[in-house]
Amino acid sequence: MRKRKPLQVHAVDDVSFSIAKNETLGLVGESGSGKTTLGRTVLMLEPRNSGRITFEGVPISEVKGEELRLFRKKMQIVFQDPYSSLDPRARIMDIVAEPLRAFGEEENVIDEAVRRVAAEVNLPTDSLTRFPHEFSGGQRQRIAIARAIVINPKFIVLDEPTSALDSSVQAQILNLLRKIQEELGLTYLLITHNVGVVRYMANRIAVMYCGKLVEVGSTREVLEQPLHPYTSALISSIPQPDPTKRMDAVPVTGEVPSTINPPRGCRFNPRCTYAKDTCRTDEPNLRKILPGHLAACHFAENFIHEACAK
Amino acid sequence: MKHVRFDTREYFTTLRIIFSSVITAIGCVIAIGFLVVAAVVWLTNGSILPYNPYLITTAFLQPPSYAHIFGTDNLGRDVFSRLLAAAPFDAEVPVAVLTIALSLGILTGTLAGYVGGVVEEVVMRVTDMFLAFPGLVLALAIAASLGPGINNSILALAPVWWPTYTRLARGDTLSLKSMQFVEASRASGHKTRYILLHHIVPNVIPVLLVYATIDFGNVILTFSVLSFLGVGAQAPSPEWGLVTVQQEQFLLSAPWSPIIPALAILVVALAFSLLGDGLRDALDPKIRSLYG
Amino acid sequence: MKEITALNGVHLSMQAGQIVAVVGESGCGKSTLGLSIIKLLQKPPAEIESGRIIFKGKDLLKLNNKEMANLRGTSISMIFQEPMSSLDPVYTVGNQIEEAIEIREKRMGAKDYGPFPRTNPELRRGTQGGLTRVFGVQLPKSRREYVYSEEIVDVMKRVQIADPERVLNKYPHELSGGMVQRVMIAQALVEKPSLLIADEPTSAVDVTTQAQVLKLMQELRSEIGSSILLVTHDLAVAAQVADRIAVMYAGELVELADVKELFEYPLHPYTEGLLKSLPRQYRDEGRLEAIAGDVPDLKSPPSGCRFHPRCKYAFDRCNAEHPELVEPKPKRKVACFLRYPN
Repeated sequence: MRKRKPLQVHAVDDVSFSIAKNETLGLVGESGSGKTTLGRTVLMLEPRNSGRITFEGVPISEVKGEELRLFRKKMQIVFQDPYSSLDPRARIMDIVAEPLRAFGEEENVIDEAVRRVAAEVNLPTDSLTRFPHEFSGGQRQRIAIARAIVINPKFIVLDEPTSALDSSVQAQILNLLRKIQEELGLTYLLITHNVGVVRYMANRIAVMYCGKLVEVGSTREVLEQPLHPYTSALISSIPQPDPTKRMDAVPVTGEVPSTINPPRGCRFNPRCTYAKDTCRTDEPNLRKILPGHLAACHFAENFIHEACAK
Repeated sequence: MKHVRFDTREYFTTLRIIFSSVITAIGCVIAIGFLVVAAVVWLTNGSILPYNPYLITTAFLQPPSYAHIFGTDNLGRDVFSRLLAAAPFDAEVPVAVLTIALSLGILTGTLAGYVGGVVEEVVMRVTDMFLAFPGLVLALAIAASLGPGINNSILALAPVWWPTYTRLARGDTLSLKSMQFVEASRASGHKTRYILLHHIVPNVIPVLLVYATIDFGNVILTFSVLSFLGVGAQAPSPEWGLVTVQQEQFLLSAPWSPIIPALAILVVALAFSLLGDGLRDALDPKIRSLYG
Repeated sequence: MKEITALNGVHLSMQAGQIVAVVGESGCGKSTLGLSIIKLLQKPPAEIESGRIIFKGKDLLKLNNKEMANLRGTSISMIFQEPMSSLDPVYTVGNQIEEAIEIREKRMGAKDYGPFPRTNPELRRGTQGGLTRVFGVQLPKSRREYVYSEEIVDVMKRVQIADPERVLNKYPHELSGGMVQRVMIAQALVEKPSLLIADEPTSAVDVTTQAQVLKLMQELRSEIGSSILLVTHDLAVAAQVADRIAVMYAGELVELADVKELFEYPLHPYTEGLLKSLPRQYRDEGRLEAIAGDVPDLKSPPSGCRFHPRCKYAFDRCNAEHPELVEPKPKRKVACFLRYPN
């Protein structure tokens, strides 16, 4: 019997970035970009082949076992799907208390903490004894957020926190997230495919495509002066809620390539209108184009236009 | 505040769904009735029965009458009393066998599914070994070597049943493992043991319970077959399978004698199967939501 | 068992070649509306209690199953949200488009293709690489590759599928979601329907693919003159392609207007709230205004106006009475007491 060599998928390939305290970094990308995998790897929920993760100066990627478990007190995550992220057979108070129980807090401390965070996220007091199926999507997401903050973490990964919610509820949750960020001094890694959300929430943006980082910079700069063709294509593809601003032509054709067999050279080159020969052979590195603004394109400088008055 | 996790309103919804269909309602009533009768007979040690099921009289092969609702058998024993007297045995065996199967199944299945690796391989190969034998053949072999009797029957039937529950539990665990609330628990800092006990097992139990309920009838049937073949219950036990074979010779002359116990097996097995159907519907989230 | 009224008093009309977007959040009944028109609702548990659906002068509710089936796939088509489950996984893409053509031809009374129509020579020009020789023995290749007719290849090119000949011989699971959605549109193009119902066609695809799909739908309208009923939760998507927008809430139609007028000046508080809750500003440019509360449970909807518990303009009448649709301006309908003429 011949054993087939397993296909290797580099979901995240050579990605480096840092997040400052109290900052929100928005990680933007489409499906297959690797953003969700990256978010989970940062929390050490996924194994990684190489690379280092440093938290408050400590290289947590070298830490194992019990020591790593203790770091979980400081880093938490809110998942995308409010329907599967809560145990359907557990009561809300137990769901929210879970991180506290993991670290052996006493019952009266737990009790008080749970009530406190429930009030913080605007959950009615009688909801603590109920079960998840009695709540709407938006309320469940509040419960998930309560669970994430009950242990007073410093850093939270928000994995598409509002993608599964209706737009009217999305606004409530976004406002809530900003409110608690201010009050508790939190740092966020916000993963989303929605540019409107990231514009409203993030200080800085990192754009991913096919497992690679293609552009990093402050939110305003990246959205108003994108230096990478994919970023501008992405921004132009977003439909505006304004019928006078319709797209004339389709910004980009083709499909997002699979990470199993990415294109040679720059991964975006098959779909890029500006692609030249070098793009097909050399993979561009993420490099500084303007102060605080990086892009992975051989010709990024060409995209700087003077029409930006800052 | 304790870690309580049962919602009593849920049980009412479950009952309402079961009783919303006539067929499952009947099944539920008969199944529960059977268990109640078995318990009562066992607790009162048979004194509640109209006649002594073991007393041999001269009133043999009497047709059903006012005195004997189902008539008497070839040794003058009241068929009805023997029918009820067997209830504790025919209830005890499935309960015991399924309890063993469920416990073992959940234990090994969830561990195998969650931990994976070598543990999973070992557990799966062992279950494969057991499943390689046709159930009845395996039970017969074990029963024959252990000898007849009800306790031995339990020991013979349990190995036939537990592998299926292990498989089920493992499959369920695998799909639960990828659910985000399990990931959230890991992200909260909990260890494997906690996650298994608090998240995996409580979510696996309902599915296995439903399966066990449907299986209840199968165990009774197989136990009856064991008795029928002489390796289960022994005379003078009133166990239904045994009685059926003992009274078979009177099928034409006194049909009530073998047919009543055979019918009892059929009805009870069917009732549990229907109850299991109802339970399965009751646990289906889509149907549950229709009932508020 | 609780009964819910999924659709209540929805009055909508569409003209030929018009794109009407039905916009709303979860539970508003927009998908139910689409399925009702093409009569694909499961009869138990759903029941149409009253109303009419007039298509080209005929009331669809009065047609029997056979007559309705004749309309589907020829006059009325539908594309769904989940591209992967919309195509039969055991047939190739080419097979499914062929099937669409055959249905069309059959309905137009052209030819009788018999019980196994896929051997129709007009739809395929031949097979290639069908057989291989091993030790001099002809063995069938594991997969037969067909060359399809020009019409089929053309329509694939129109939906911007590169290398159509290859894609036509693939199975749905071998393609990406965006590709499959484009195949669905190709099928719709082939069917040349008068009415296309698109139920959240871009919710499950990437935003770059979404832009392509929306463009294709506009082409469908301009080339074939189909009317499109676009069901979506995304107001921005509706703004891109629609001529008119119908806003639904909790099973009812609350506002109906031409697209420019709706965005410029929404009349219903819910529409206003929805527009305001779309994040468009930067982090330092002030807070989003969110609509308080949650979408109501249809099992026990609020009394009077269904939106009143969340409405910042609500007054007494809103709780007591149920607002009917009024027409304060020509071609604009709204169900709100604020807009009643007095």
